[in-house]
Amino acid sequence: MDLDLFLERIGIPQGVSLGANRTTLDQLMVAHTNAVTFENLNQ
Amino acid sequence: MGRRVTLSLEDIFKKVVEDHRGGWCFELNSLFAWALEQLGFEVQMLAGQVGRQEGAPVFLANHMLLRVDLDEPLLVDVGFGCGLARSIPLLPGTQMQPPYDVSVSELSDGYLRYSEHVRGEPATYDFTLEPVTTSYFDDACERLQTDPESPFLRTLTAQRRESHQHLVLRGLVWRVIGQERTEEQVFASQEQLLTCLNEAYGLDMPEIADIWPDLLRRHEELFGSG
Repeated sequence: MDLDLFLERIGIPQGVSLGANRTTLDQLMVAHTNAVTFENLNQ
Repeated sequence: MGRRVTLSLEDIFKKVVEDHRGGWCFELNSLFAWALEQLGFEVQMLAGQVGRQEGAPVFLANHMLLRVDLDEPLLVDVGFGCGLARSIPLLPGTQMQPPYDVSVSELSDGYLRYSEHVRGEPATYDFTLEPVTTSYFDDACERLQTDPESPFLRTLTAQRRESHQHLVLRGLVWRVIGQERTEEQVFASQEQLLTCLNEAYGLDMPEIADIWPDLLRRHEELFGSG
């Protein structure tokens, strides 16, 4: 599993500086909730 | 449609990243936890129960959430319908995250409650700070996909954030929830539903048409045929 592919999936451009800090955490959460759907469409 | 989802990270990665699908809490929070750990975060999985009444029996397994410890413990959750947009302290308090007020409170029976509210009844889940592992959710993942009473079997849903709006599809009802108002549309045709899934959620799933009769039947059960 490739972290860069995950980041690309949620819309984080390559080259963005990411660290284990609050700014990065919230940046990833905002990106994720905009890019990835909560869904149960398998059912 | 009878396809099963698993708690295997490889399966989840393929579904979400390679196939551009979404998922439910077990999938989205598992994958998000993996990504955070790759970046050096300290992450714990926690277990919750959605929609519990205070004092009611506890079944802490139908929701997965995350704890991240930085300068303070934080609640992180990308699997509760996308309502929470940023981390919040794991301490009693409320934040505005438009369109929602999101909060953590301590209940009289000792559990913590996450709540998000804009109008009407808030959406909530209760949880403790006892860390768990992925396998803790094995039974719940199976049951929620097979129990005829499971909300995940009874009602199709797709939810995503778009800036300060929450786009919520439940069955045939599509709501765009904003801070000032909620716009609502009831889909009358398969084409409307498929277009919504494609344009609002980026999901190209023509096979959803196969369950259109079930969706109609469920809608009529809930709202009548008028």
